[in-house]
Amino acid sequence: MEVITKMDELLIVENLSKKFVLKKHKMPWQKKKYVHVLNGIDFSIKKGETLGLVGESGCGKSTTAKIIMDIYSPTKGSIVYNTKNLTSLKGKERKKIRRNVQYVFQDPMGALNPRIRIIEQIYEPLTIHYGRNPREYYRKAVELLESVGMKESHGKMYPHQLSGGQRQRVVLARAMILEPEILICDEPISALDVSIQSQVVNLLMKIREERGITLLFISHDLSMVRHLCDTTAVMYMGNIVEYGRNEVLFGNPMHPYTKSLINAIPIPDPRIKRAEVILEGEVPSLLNPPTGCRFHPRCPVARPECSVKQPELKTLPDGRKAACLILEEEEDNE
Amino acid sequence: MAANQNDELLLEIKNLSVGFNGAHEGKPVVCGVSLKVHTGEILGLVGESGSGKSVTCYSIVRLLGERGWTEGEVLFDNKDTLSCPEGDIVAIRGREIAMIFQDAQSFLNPVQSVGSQLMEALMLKKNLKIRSSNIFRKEAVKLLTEVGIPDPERRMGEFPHQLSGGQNQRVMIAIMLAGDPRLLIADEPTTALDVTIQAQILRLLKKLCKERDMAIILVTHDLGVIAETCDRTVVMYGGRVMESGPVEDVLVKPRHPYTFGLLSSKPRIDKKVEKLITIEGVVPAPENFPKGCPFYDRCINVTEECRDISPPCIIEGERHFFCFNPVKEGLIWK
Repeated sequence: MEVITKMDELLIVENLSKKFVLKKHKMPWQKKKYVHVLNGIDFSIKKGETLGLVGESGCGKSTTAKIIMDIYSPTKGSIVYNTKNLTSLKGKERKKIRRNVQYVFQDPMGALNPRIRIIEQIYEPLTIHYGRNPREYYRKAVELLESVGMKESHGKMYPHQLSGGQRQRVVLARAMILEPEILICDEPISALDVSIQSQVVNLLMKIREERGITLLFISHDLSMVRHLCDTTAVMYMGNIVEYGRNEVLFGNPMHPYTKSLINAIPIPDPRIKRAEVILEGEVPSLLNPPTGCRFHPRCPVARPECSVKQPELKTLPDGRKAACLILEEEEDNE
Repeated sequence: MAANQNDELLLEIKNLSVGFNGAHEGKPVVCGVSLKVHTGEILGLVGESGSGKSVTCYSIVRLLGERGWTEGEVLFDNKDTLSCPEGDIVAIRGREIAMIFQDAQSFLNPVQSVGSQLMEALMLKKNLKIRSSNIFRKEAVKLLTEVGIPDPERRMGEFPHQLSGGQNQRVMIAIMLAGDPRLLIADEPTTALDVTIQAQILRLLKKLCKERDMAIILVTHDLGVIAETCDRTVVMYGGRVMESGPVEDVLVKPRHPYTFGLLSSKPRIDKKVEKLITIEGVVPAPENFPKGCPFYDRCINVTEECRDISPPCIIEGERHFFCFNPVKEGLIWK
């Protein structure tokens, strides 16, 4: 494994926590209740690499992305981008640095304005950041539109005239127009048909190659994450449970949650018969999280101590990180 | 396992065409579909959105009502459900043939407890004269236990919003089992669920199929689900059947270029794929369906006659497919 140095890392997320107030409009003397959505997560992305964030719904993947995008502010922790702490920036400086981080949402119809022509939506970010200059912007927007596999004539259309895959291409083109360094994709392909998914993913890979862009790819589709990403972080109830290079993580998953998650994904080949290890139960409510390891009520190999002590993310010999008491113990025995 | 010839034929669809009144320029959305379902087997209906899989299912029990027109025959127990009197279809619907849907939350009544909805279904479907709720209550608890809901006695008094998505799905299955159906149509039952819950629901469906000797038509767009759950599969595109046959044949050695493309456009969890093969273009709208094969403009093996002439049905053992220029025999994808 290569030695990870802090120098070439573009984005470092440290001890990121987020809690939401449960019920607003309470009487001032009543105690506020909180939901802890993220409990101190750490990860980093190197320049030009792709990090995949996976997990079941409600595990905090999108919240993480939204905090990086400054849509939510974190309760605790820091986000360091190019040696600058994003959480403490304000005003003009903040706007300047925000150009470099762009976001692609799951639902392209919700992300596009139904009443504005495609081409105008694509160059709107330029107007916001650099002032009005439509003639010059138009050329750039058309160029981008063509680079995502569409025609100039599509620019005159409105979002409802396009298909789902085309809309997602437009959203991608719009995100690229500011030439960002980081692109955050929040389930960009979940709403699309299978044959369209592969088109969009191939496009993402092409963009990544051509522009050397850094990607944060959020998805619940583990096979796609394996295909697209270099590193993957598996999340469960607001914690990262396993984090490592894709070859190690998918080649030999260590954490019981990662194992069962990978095992739950159906393989389109009837010849492959796998051991039926199906995870029992469901994700517990975040309002009333289990003590100790959050995963212990569903864990097939849980021990009594798992319900008491919360495991920490520790580095294993092969370079990956995992948060599991049982793995730690095995490590000590060896 | 693959259906034997001597298995009892339960449902036979012969040359079914379905269209919507006053939509799609009068063109059908399902065109000449034929398929067979035997007792005790799971048939997978797979295709992208707009391929007509759901419409085919709805027309089996005449759920389209006044909105649509149908042609052809749907023989259930040698009775044509398309042309039989309204009274007969009411007797079949929900009793002989039950249906579960993607969104359990909107299927269940939000202001009625789970128990009373179940008991209502039992009262209606079993035509019991007894008004003593005690008997129904016992039956209902038995059904909830059968679908794997923990602590069913307590769950009886709870409301849909108190249950999770996976549990609501189970409740819906329990309600549908109330009529002791011989055929269960499951329309994308796991699309909205997380992978670990999806695995649980699929296992439940397999168990029910075996224990109750019931046939299931499973509609999905995930070939992985087909491979792990079904005995036979029907691949649909553009309102027509492209390929059908035992899962071991269709998914391992696909002969139709569409099945082949679909299989190679999705990354795999169990191995690394270098580049995804994409099916270019988009699914056509019903008004643009050609006279010939609806897949002709996206097909890699397209020939001159594909556009204007419907491809012939080629029978190879138990497998059927419709193509002029099929994928070479014995070509195993990847």
